[in-house]
Amino acid sequence: MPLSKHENVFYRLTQDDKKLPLTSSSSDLQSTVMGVSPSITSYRDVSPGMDSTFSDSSAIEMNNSIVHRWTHNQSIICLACSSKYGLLFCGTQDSYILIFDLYTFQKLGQIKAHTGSVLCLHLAKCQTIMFSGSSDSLVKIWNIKIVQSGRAQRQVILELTHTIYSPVDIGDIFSIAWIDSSKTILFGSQNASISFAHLGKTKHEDKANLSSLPSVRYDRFFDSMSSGSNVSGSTTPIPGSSSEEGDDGCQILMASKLIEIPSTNIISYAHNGYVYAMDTICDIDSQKSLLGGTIAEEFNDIILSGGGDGMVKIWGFKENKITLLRSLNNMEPVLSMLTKEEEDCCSLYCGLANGVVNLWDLSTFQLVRSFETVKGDVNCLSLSDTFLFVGTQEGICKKPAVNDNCVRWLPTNTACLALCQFKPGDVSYLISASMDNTVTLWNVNMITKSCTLAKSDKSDVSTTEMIEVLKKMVSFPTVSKQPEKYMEQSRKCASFIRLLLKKLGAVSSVLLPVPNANPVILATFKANSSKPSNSNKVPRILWYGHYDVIEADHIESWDSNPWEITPTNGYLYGRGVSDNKGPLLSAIYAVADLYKSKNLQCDAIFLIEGEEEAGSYGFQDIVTANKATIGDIDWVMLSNSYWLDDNVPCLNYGLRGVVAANVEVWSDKPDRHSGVDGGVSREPTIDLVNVLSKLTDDSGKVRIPEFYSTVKELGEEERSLYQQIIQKVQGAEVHELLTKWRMPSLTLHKVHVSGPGNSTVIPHAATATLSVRIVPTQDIEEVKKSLVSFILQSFKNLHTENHIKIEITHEAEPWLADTKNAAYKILYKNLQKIWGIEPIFIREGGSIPSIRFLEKTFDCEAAHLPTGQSSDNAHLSNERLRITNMLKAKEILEETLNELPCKGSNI
Amino acid sequence: MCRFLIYKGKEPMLLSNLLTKPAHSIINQSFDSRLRIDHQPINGDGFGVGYYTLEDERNELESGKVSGPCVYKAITPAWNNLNLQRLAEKTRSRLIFAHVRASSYGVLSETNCHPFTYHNIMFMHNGGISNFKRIKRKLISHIEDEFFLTLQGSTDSECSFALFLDTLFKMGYDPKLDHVVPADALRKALVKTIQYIKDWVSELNVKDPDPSLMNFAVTDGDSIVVSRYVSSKVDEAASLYFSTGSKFIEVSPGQFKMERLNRSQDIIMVASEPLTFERGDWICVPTNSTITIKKQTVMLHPIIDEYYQANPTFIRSREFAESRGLMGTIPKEQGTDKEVPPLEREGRSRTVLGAA
Repeated sequence: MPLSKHENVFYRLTQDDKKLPLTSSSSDLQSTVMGVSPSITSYRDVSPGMDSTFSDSSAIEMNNSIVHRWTHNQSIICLACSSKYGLLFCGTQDSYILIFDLYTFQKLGQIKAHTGSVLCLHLAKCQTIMFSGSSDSLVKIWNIKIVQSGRAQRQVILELTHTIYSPVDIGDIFSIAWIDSSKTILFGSQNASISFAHLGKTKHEDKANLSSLPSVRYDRFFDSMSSGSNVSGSTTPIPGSSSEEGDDGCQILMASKLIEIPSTNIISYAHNGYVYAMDTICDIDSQKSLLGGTIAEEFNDIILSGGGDGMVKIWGFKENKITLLRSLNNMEPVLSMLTKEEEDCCSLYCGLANGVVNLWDLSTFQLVRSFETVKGDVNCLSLSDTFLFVGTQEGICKKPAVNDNCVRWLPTNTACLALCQFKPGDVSYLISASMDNTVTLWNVNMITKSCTLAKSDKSDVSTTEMIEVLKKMVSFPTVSKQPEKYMEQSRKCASFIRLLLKKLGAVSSVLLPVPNANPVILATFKANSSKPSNSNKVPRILWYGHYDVIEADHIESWDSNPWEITPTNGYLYGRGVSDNKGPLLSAIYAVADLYKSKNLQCDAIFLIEGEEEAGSYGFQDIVTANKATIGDIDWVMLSNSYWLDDNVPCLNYGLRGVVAANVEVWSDKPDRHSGVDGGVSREPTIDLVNVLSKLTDDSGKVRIPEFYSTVKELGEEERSLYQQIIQKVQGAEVHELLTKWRMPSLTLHKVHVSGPGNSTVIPHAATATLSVRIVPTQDIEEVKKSLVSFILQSFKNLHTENHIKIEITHEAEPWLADTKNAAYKILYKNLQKIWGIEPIFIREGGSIPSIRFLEKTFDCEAAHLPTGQSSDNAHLSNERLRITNMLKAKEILEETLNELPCKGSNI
Repeated sequence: MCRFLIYKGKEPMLLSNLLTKPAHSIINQSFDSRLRIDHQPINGDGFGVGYYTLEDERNELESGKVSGPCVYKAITPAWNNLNLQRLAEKTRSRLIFAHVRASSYGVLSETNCHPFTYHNIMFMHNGGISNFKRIKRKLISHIEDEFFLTLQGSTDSECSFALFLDTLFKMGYDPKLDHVVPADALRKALVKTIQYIKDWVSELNVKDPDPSLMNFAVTDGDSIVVSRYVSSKVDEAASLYFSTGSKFIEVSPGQFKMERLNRSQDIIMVASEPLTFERGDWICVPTNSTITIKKQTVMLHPIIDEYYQANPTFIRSREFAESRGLMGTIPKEQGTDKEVPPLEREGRSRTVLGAA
């Protein structure tokens, strides 16, 4: 989905810019009523906490504040976020609770939690207990269990502990509150009632009966139709009992129970409308509390409820009794509520059905301010340190302060259904659910433009930074095959990377100019670890990568702009994210983080070219010329391919080589007309086809002499690697993999003729483009020689007067690594540790010319660690990279780089 | 005993989506009424539909002058009225009252069909007032002439409407002035009307009187008030359900569902019987309470008098109906496939369009 653009960002109250604040919106009206008359200067001055980037931020920056977006096939109605564990829970219209990991953006799972829309979610303060309320009239209580095995992706299990129902037809459940000290759950529902239950006490449960559940119990109307699935107890799985103690002080509730709300715990007509919102102020300290009246003296916990009747009611809760203390009339239905206790004020925000937000002072129970955002419902409210966010019928707006007229709209088009805060550390995030079935994670502070300035040394900060830098890098269309269009962008990108490496700590970072091509970046990080290394010598590791990308010309087949990163459902979409900008940044940030924490035990040399997709033009010359500058190298590493599927991490140990050639046959005569001159002389096209036909036999085998003879027999050990693959990767077949990876092949790419190409012309020349993929045991020079001589011989046998020319256009040596060497051993161990999955060794049918070249140049071995998944769509439209893969690659490299020994030494 | 249906929406609704298409539409209810207390599932004594037209709505905005609802009534059974089906296919409104009648009192005549109207006000009744004949004179002498003169028919329902108008008038809201009546006043007038009737009946001192069933619906074109009331502390009132949501969508022919994407009540329906078999979409109005629709918001108020039950879990009995031998058979649960639309299963499905 293309993200919304500039036009969506505007001041909804902009007319006010032209007006004096005194005459503008209702907020000023209100302040006049309250006896405060803001002067123009105070209006300008009052912008506490408003960062400067915000006030003049452009639409693009607003879009940049979207950190991630998830989609579902139905509307997401409510949200709950655990900042402590970095988890996001979403209640959906189709009765699911979705679980997302806010660190990796990956969906961790979903459970069918109810039989109706999940209308509200609430997390207990300990963040290990969650409550869900639904249109099926049930409240369910869940233990959140996080299963972490090693460093693999964690699993989150929602364990149902309680199911609560009311014997009364209460309809939808809109709001839930929880009082921790007395283990009391309260919920507000459609029939204007508030019900509550204590989880500690068991006496009410005697009455509880599966057959009394609202979906099951006899109803005169609905059960008059039929029974079927409706009647069985299947709606509510009540698993067996198991009680567990939580570690690190987390509460864990007892096993699953069914609770019927006793009639004494139902406050009928708590409101005269739907009870849309509830909030609590718990553990009130009478010494400090600013709550008005004698509430603080009398109650430890109070509950606030907002209803469709426009009232906010404040209830005191004590000894299983709930007492109405106050009613605040908002005149319009209260759809959302938010309380904020600060040192010097205790306030209540109410979002109303007419687009107004009311601010009440809970010390005096007076309405102090009210301002209008839009016409229509204010569905939700959220407060960060600096902004009030208002989720409305028309989208989300943020206000720096209630007394500030400046309202800015976030770039969404649709109604906002829910908002919540995520504050893992210094950075504040906003999460919103919209009517278009999406959930969006926004960076509230708005990442500053100089994204290379890390604020702290926490690894998740550099993670965010890494993705921000990738965003910037993808925005350069560095298409090396189209220099006429993109040369400047490629150069800008190269400079950006050079400076990035410098800022991250490289002692030197330079651009090596390549004649008629994009420059190569060469940067060196020096080991800075105080830990004594095993030997006197510090290992030097060269990372090879490329910043150029394949073109993205068929933009219509992309779902988003290829030159703009679109973060969706745990993936980053954009040209080059997987090939090769994302993996490159994983390596850069692995080194940078080690360097920053003074723990880099090797020298890391980055050699990043800009012509990989154009056959690494000029690369070898430049490297050869700068060999001395680069210095001695112990290992070459790269990440420039993909897994075999989407699940099993891979190590790549072999690539095929390639010899590409153009074969041209031409005559001395010009193009002619076949009706006039047909049959007079030998035709170049026919000659070419004849020659080409000799390359393969009738079964498709290549007839070039000795073509297959050097291919090594498949050994037992190697065979076992293939067996492992087919066990782990679905759909993989041994003979296919063998053919792709360890057998040479010949491809005829195109045949082209001279002249206008219509069907009466005898072309005077014909050209064929072909290539041969070769495997490690084949000698590239031998292959070239036999290919050329075979073609020439075939041509000679034709005894034609035409001429032939063979031109080798591209070549790459095959590459095969020793999977037993130190680098692969260390990588294998770290992959297994960090993914929690045993990796597989794979090869690839494609070719990367630079690997073997670098090995030979620096007399060392290379190791190839694929980063992305097979579904990454590299070179295709909608190229993507899973964020988890990018993060794990960085983790793996951080470990690996510090473990690699110098070449020649064993581990 | 009758059935009624009220629609109030932010967007206009096609009448046929309420009246004819849904599995348990009010027309289907007229021959497959599942909840009628007397269990004679035929509401064949005429019907009526009243709605405010979109054009009038616009004109009212400009001129400030109201012209009242459009009302279509007939004494033929609703399912046999092709005109109704044709009109329903083409008529849209934001506020719709519909009623099918099974006469319990009064003769079969068009004047006895609901909804009743007076200027911009519309009124319907589902239920029956016990011993109405004996309080009729009292009621009529209580009301002003101008409201007495509106009576055309003979039913308890129409007299209740006249009493309501009189009550509203005496509260200071003259219904013929066509001013918008605050929802609160509308509700108070309706509750007061119920109280008058209830008190007059109890003044008769009948031994073991049958309770009166007073499910009234009234609107001034702006707000709507519906009551669910029984003059008994232990008996159940006539059924009344409501449903709110953002969209009423037809998921498959005849199968409607209330979509609830958010908290908005863009669509509000109140009906004697649910229009669909989607259990989660409907909630019953508590006995002895009113439901008030103000703009697009539903509000619930209890009617607190001697018949009010404070305990929300108290189960009222259906003995009243049973003692009259009218409890009949509640369709019993049968182990059939839930996927099969019940009307079809019972061989009573009708293709409304096909009939036209």
